[in-house]
Amino acid sequence: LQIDHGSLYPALHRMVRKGWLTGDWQDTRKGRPMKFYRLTPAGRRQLEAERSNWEQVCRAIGLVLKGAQG
Amino acid sequence: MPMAGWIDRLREAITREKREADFERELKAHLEEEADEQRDAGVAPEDVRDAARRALGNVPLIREDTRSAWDATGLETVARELFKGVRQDVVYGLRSLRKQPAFTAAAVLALALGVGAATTITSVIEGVLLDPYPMYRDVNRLVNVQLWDLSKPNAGFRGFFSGARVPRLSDRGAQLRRRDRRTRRGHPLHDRRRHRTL
Repeated sequence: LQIDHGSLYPALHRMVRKGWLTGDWQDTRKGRPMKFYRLTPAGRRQLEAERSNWEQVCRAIGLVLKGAQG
Repeated sequence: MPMAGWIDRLREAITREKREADFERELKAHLEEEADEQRDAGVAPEDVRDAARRALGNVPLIREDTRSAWDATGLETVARELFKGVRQDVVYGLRSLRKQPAFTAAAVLALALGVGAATTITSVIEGVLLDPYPMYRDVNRLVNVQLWDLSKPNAGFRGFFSGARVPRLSDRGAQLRRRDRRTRRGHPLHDRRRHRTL
């Protein structure tokens, strides 16, 4: 599975639009200005919701697989 | 309203241009950073730029996808386009009506006649066929007075008057009965002798 680095940008900008991220320009250690993205409080809440959703799905799949084994 | 629309559009164009420039700068910074990393990983200097570009992926496609992320969501866009289309159609219609006054007059006349005819026919049908008491005020207060001589149960109305005495309403045999106001049988126009309106 290979994902281009660039496919990150549509996702980042979409999340900025939804208010989950903010981006601002800062210099890297090498002194090059780069845009750094940071989670907003709303983004943190969304992340928590998505994470618990993901864990639920994983648990469900795990249960199914365990059932198939036994 | 056209003025405000203009300003909005101008503002949107400016923010869009800014955003576009910002994104280009972002992509460029990414490419340079990637090139540095490739160089550090031991890629030959003449191949570094191409390698970085390859790692980033299809740049025009990324640009397009990112731009679509800036725009309103799909549903909003569809709704706005739909509304714009309707408005354009209405404006176009009004403009062509103004350009062809004869056609407009004919169309308005036809519509007016049509609406008038429909209204007239509906009123006539209501008055002649449906409403049994056309143009009566307070139809629900209409009552049907009947006189029965209870001493001669089978004599009915006609038999009543064969007796010598003409009773008054206060007599035992006098009954005041309300009759269903929407039945033909009780229609005062059809049955004048037997019914009175109070």
